[in-house]
Amino acid sequence: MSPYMLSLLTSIAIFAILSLSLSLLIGHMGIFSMAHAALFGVGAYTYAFLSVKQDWSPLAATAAAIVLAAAAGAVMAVPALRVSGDYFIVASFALQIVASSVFSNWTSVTGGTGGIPGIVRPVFGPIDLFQDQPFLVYSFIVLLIVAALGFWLVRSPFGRMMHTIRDDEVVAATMGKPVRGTKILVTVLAGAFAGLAGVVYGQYLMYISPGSFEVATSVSIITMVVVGGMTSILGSIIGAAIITVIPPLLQEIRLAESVAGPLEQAFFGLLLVVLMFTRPQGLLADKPHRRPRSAGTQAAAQEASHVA
Amino acid sequence: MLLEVENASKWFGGLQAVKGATFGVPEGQVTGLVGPNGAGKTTLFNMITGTLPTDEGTVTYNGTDITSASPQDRVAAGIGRTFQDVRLLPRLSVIDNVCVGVQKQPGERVRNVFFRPAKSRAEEQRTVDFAHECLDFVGIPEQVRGQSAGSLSYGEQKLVSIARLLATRSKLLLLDEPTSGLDESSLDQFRAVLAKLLSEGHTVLLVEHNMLLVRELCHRAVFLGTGEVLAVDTPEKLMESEVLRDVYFGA
Amino acid sequence: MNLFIQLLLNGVVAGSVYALVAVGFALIFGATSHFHIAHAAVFSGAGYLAVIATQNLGLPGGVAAAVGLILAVLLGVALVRFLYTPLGRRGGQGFVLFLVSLGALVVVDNLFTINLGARPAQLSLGGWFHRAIPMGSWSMTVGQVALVAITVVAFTALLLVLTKTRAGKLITAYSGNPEFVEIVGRRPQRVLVLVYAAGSLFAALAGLYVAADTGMQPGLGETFFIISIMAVFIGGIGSVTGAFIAAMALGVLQNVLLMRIDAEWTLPVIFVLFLVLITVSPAGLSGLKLTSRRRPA
Repeated sequence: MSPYMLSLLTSIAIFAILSLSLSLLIGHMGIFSMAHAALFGVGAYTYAFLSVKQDWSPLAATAAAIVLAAAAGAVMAVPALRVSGDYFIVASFALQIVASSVFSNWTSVTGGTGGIPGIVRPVFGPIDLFQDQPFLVYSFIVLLIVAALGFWLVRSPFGRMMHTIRDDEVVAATMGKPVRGTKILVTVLAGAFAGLAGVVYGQYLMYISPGSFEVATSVSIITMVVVGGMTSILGSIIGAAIITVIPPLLQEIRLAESVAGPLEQAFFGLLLVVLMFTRPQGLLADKPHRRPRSAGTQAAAQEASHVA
Repeated sequence: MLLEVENASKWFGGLQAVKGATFGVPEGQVTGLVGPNGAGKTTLFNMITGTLPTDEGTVTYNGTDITSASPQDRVAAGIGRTFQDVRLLPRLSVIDNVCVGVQKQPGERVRNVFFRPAKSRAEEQRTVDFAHECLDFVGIPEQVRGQSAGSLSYGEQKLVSIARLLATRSKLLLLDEPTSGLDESSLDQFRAVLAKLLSEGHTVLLVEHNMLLVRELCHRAVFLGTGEVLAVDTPEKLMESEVLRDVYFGA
Repeated sequence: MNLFIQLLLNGVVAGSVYALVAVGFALIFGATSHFHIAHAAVFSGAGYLAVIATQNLGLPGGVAAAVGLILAVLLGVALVRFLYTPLGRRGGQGFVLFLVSLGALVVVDNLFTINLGARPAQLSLGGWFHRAIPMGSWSMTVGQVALVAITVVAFTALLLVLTKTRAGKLITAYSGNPEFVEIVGRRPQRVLVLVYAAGSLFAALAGLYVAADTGMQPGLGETFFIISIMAVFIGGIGSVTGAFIAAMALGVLQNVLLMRIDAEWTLPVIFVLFLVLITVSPAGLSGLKLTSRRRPA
């Protein structure tokens, strides 16, 4: 496999983790976050700072990165969700802008606009991830784990509760579901996954800088979720693949540096607008669950019409 | 009295929707809540379930003051309701809609989902089986239970919402206009389900326009007019009263 | 003390920019409950369009500013006419309108960046704009004074329109009164267009000032916008007065803080303040008003 292909697939894997985790929040919980790139960055910077500048072990630094990213999610969620989803949009947008500013300005910790170089890829016993091929496998394993966790969560009663709250909060409350607590919990989980993606990203590039974690990135991730289908795990992965492939495709058309970035962004914006008119639910959608009854009860059901 | 509402009042801006309403719901009986449109019946309902806060007055359930309790706390205590406009979750399957009503599901806690998978799965299957029983009770056929709730007819959706209420295993059932909008054939099926339900000795507060149905199903009824409790009596006596008939048909 | 007064004056200037954007957003959001994030595009668009008018069409500063203003207002109206209303008719859920607004913002902002590059797009209104007016030990520029004056006048005019005219009272009736909407039905198209036009006018004025002052830049629009939006929510949804006051307060705070902290940390501080305020008083400043009269549900 060519280095170019390896690089593309690794990017897809990492952004699929971001897209998947955001779909939990946007698609399954119905909460709009503009801060996913910020949480991605919190994870990346925490890992980079602790492992490079403070000599922490990769495992400890990863744990810290996940916890801090989750905490950042909680910081914006707890006050905002007491009120409404609109407050959350504001809080998340503000967090994103503040985070970008902090990444660029807190030079002593984040290295400012220069970023943090010298991130080392992890070593698992005899397996060294310095080569791009094993690293790709590692990225996909992380993606698979996150996807499995997400899938499990969504199909569980907790997932059903999320969907109930998403679609009708009043009914959810009337059925005894903890509305605010669930929303905050999902925001924290989404943040944790974004933080994990940040760790893998830093390990991959072995260097991070503020430019990767700006509003534009948050918009890209949102576009991935919308394109692939907000409520489909597989869809968010496909969405990530599609959106990740576009910038390199655009580079085929020989454009000036300064135009390529904005053009890409403008294209994503246009895609969002067009999708809202043509197919707002995205490529793939979640189907209603059948939930069959257990074998033994089938016969009993034929007779009884009484509720115990 | 399982439920006691005392001097409950509610304002919307300058408009007083409920004025000092006082009445009780005896345990094991079916109490009707009747009155013309706009009398404040649904508002009163919402105050009992905690969906709307009371501006004045108290709500007491099973001897405990629940006036400031959240809707979640109230359903945990045993108060369940249906909605006048049904309010199923159209994107979820029929069976999932009923499962939503089941209380205290371990699988609704993330820690159980990930760290106690076997127990969660077993409990979920019990929840699903129970939900199926509730659907058996109201007569929704097996083949549609995997479909999205939005694909069902209005009458079927109303039945599913009763099943959802049953799933909560509530002690006090609040039914908000359960037969409104139903055509003749659905109405018959519904009446049969209601009758079956009520024969099991649940405590019920039933908002209904159809006075004949109220007479058939309720032991007594509370007559609400422009936000005030005008009378509490058996349905027959209420129907005989000229004063009340004026309020009802004059409105 | 001198420094403090100067920072205070600077704060009022910044607050005026925030207030214009905030009042515009509050008007629109209050009347429609729609998170019109593309409002930021109207803000920056006014500046960009005026600069393009001077650069590409060779128009003098003042005329270009007028052109920028009109086009920006038309942009706001076009958004509601061609994007929001058609989508709303299809029964789109809330997220559809938000996403289309976000998409529009991204498209507009990036089209300008492609056209004008990443350097600040500077609008030249003439030498008078930057001329300093000495006021004892402090000073303001003519442009700054003009901004504050225009902000106060525009806001006062808006309040008069909202309370005295029929259209204004109708708009106020929609704000924060979902029951009214249910009774009357969907807001008539004319009211919508009026609301978006007025709101966009305010944002455009702010954008023109920024373009004339330091020049409009891609990241700059975001920063101004987010502070203005925080002001709207601190001030209380549906209250243009609350938005105005909160925006002014944030502008002043941001500048006075410079006595103690570096410029790049003022935004994080304001963000933390925002989180604290909405925790303490979810209904915003207008929610802090304690009255014995019954509040609407």
